[in-house]
Amino acid sequence: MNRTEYMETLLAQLRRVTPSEREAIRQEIDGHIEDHICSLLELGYDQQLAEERTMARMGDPVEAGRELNQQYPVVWRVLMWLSSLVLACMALFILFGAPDEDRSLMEALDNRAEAGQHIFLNQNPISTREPLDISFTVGDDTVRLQAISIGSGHFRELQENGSYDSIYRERMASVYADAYDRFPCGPVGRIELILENERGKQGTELLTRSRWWKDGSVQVPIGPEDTYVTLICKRFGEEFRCQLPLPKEDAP
Amino acid sequence: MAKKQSIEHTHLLVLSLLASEDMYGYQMIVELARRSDHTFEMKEGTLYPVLHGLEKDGLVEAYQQEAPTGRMRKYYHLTRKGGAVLKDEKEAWERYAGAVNAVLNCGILPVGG
Amino acid sequence: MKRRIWTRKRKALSLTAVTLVLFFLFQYTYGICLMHPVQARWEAEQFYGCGSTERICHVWDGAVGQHVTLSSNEHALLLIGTYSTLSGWSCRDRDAVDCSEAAPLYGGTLRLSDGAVEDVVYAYGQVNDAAIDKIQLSFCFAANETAPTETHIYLTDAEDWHEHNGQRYFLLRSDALMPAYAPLNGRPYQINQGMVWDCTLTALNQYGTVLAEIKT
Repeated sequence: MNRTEYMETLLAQLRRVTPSEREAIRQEIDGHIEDHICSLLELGYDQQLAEERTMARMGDPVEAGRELNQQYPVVWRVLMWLSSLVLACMALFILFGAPDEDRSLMEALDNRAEAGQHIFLNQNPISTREPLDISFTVGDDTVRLQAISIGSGHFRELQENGSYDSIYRERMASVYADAYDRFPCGPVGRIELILENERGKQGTELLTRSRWWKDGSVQVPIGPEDTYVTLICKRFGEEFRCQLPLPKEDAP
Repeated sequence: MAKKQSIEHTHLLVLSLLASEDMYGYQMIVELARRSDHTFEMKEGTLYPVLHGLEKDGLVEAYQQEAPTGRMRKYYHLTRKGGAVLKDEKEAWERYAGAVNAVLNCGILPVGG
Repeated sequence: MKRRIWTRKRKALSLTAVTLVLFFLFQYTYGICLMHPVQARWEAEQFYGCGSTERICHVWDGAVGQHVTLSSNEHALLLIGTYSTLSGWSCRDRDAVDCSEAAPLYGGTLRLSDGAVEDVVYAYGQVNDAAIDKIQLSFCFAANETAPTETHIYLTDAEDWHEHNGQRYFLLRSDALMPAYAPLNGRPYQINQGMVWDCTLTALNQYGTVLAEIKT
């Protein structure tokens, strides 16, 4: 049996190994044969005799291959296959399977990193607006107040009969805010903002958008002489309050 | 001429070789023959199932290093676990060999009958 | 230069460890493939932002095929229904009540559905007034828009309530609300989940006097 036949016979017994493991075994045993032949050549043997002597010393390739095959238990390969399957499923979901709202993870991370990209005050027309730079935490969520404006819009008002009606108001204050979790991919909890005018009338807004980033604008009607509104955020024992001066309106 | 002894306790011999230094496969064959005065000359192909089995069990670990010829060689190194097993196996072997010697020495017949 | 060679076992265990870490990160990011019902409760806690809660009681409701769990902390009461799917544990129906301001009674109601046929209304709450001995749940139900209105009333006594950290909690279940089968949109039948409204929790003392009322 020559060197090539020996290697082919031995490798044919390896049914449990992966291609890379097979190649590693081939290199190791082939290297062994090469080392033995080289040592015989140094002793003065010719190439053919050195190879014959070496192959005679190697023994039965079938027995060696079968014994070698037993040293590669299937269980670890199954575990690797299962792990790869789980990773593949996760990757496929992230790329193709997530509902539209969930695909906005990148958008959420983008909005979180840079404030001011999506300010929407829900008023038309807006007579004046000013940026805000106020942040506070509620639980493990951060709320950023980004802008305040005065303008016209619809206000959802509780009527005497207990139902809510959307009433058009000429003069309302609106505050735009966004919220995100302390961890970049973490979910934002439920956040409801309350805006209160100087007479105690309140408007509320539940921030919405996606699992990782929420925004919204809260509004309340104001009077011509009002100078401030109060923003309140309450959630399960925590409360944040701050007075926000109304932006100055240009003289007509 | 003494018969070549069949290899028993192959794992013990391999661990013992690696206790002195890291070696690659062919080097172990040469060293084993040298240390045993050619008493132990195993079929070389059967060394590798032993080595891979010891590696699987964590008694040795392997690494690749460039040989003088430029080819990458796989070297084996005795782990701490392998050292502990070697110590236990060696003690067990010495007890066994001692017991056999004791029996053999008591069984020597007196000269002249 | 030496290059360490990893065994098959070490490669498998390393890949598995990395996969597990990424899998937990995936669960946290997307809130799916939850492997244990307690993860579904953590999801609900994150949804409401109420913080970590402790389990008060737990029942299996075979009518809607969900595990119903009541949990609480210092500021919140949380009621959730969890069920297992091919993609892990899920929590479709949940409700939370803010208990941070002083009151004799906190309570809420939650309608649990099996997603197809039956619905059940649960009332839950925390009782802070020692004089409260009974809680009554009442609501109106109509199987569809033309069906007659039914008034459902259920009662729970203090002896059936749960004690946890010195507080008393109740969990009250209505009967299964069956839908109505009625022709709709040209099809021979349509399952209508029905309408539930005017849910009220009334706290009574041992003499039947109303001590508190909550509309949910």
